Amino acid sequence: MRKGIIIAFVIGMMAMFSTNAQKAMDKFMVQVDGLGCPFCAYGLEKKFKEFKGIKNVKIDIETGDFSFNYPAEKELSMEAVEKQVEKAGYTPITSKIERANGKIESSEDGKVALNPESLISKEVYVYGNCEQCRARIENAAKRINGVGEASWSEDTKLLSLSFDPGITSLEGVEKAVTNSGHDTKEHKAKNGVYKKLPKCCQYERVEK
Amino acid sequence: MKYITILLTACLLVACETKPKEWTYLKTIKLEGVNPIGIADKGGELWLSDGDHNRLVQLNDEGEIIRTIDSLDRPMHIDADERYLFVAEYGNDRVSNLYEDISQKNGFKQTPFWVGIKDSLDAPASVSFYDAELAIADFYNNRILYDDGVDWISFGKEGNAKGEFYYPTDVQITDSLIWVADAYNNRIQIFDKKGNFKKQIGQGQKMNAATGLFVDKTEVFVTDFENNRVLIFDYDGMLKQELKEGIAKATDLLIKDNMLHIINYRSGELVLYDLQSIKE
Repeated sequence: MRKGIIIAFVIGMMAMFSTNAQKAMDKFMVQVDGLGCPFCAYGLEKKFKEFKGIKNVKIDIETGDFSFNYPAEKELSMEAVEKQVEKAGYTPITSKIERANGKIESSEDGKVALNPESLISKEVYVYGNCEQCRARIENAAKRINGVGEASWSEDTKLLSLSFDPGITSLEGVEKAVTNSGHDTKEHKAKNGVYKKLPKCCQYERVEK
Repeated sequence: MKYITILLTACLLVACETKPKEWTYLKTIKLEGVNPIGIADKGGELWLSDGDHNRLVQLNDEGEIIRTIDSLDRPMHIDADERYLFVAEYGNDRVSNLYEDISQKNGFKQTPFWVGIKDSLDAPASVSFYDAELAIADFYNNRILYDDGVDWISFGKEGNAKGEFYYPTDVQITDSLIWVADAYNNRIQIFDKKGNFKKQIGQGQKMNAATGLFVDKTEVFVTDFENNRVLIFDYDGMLKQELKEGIAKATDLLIKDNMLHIINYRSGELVLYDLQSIKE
């Protein structure tokens, strides 16, 4: 009888630990630079299969939203996730982790809160080709402290911005955009950065 | 008089025959719940791969699904003959044939090919079958694998020189050649069956992601994914026609029943063109 109770207790404890272990998953959400074609999107998904234990992989080709769950005990870092995205050939735009313990980590952490009344609107011409370019250009601008909105048009090549001129400047935004590989009328990206762009993003450069 | 009539009729017939024709937009068929990537004609049956939903679907003439093969892992470009479907599964690095077998749960028996190459595939994007020959576009390895029915060869590596690839997405074997959609080098490359580079076409057309190709007896059809168009070349690489109407993020195409069938991936559409005489 006593032996039976002990066995039942042990089994119960094991089941409890097992359930907790299953629940202890971190949730990762990454917005990825322009997953325009299915070959790209499935490629990203495939490269993340290398993370043993990955669950609930979801990918939205339209929005570039990519999410998955990963065992919390493995303490996967945002940096490792972003590196894996880059290894697959793409660029992470924003990343967010909801840890199993309730902690939230975001690539947006540290950005200054903006006062809408201080924002001004400007447009700047940025060279690029496609949706991947759009994601990269907008991401480069949005990462700058002081920038509110950033929207690039594939048709007009204009990057529409709202930013606080007390925190940043149009030139500052242009420099950040060129650092991502995209020329503007006034600033040119380094050749090495341009050449690292995906082939579909290598726009025709205009020599000054 | 009789001879004059015969002569006149013959002249008219010849005139009709030689009147130039072009591919002309016919209609778009919406495919409910399908995001097609590959297309194949299996002895008159029209099959599509639906990568987003991990399946193959057979369509009727109205574009409705009449059969489904599930449980695949990101099926991409496909091929078929009278009996078999050939599928490249991007997600699990497998290339298989499928044939009808009523004893199977989904009505098809799947047999993976043994690929006689030492290192494994990494995201096979396309398979082509021709008279016991097999070719595979090995996407992340930037190479083509070819089996002549006896031996396997591998050719290509990452790069943009002749004979190199930057993500090959589609392949087709013809009588004496192997044609490759070299997607992000934005060109079609042509090889002999020893893997020797023969020529390239389309490189001056500013394509942006040449995702799919179809080669018939005289022409080469290419989907220019990001530019929402299909380009038609002759075998010498001369551009014969550019199709735009109805085309949006197209991934593959073929000619069936004298009609050009083009599939739009994102919007889930089948676009039909037919050959019509050029209007005066």
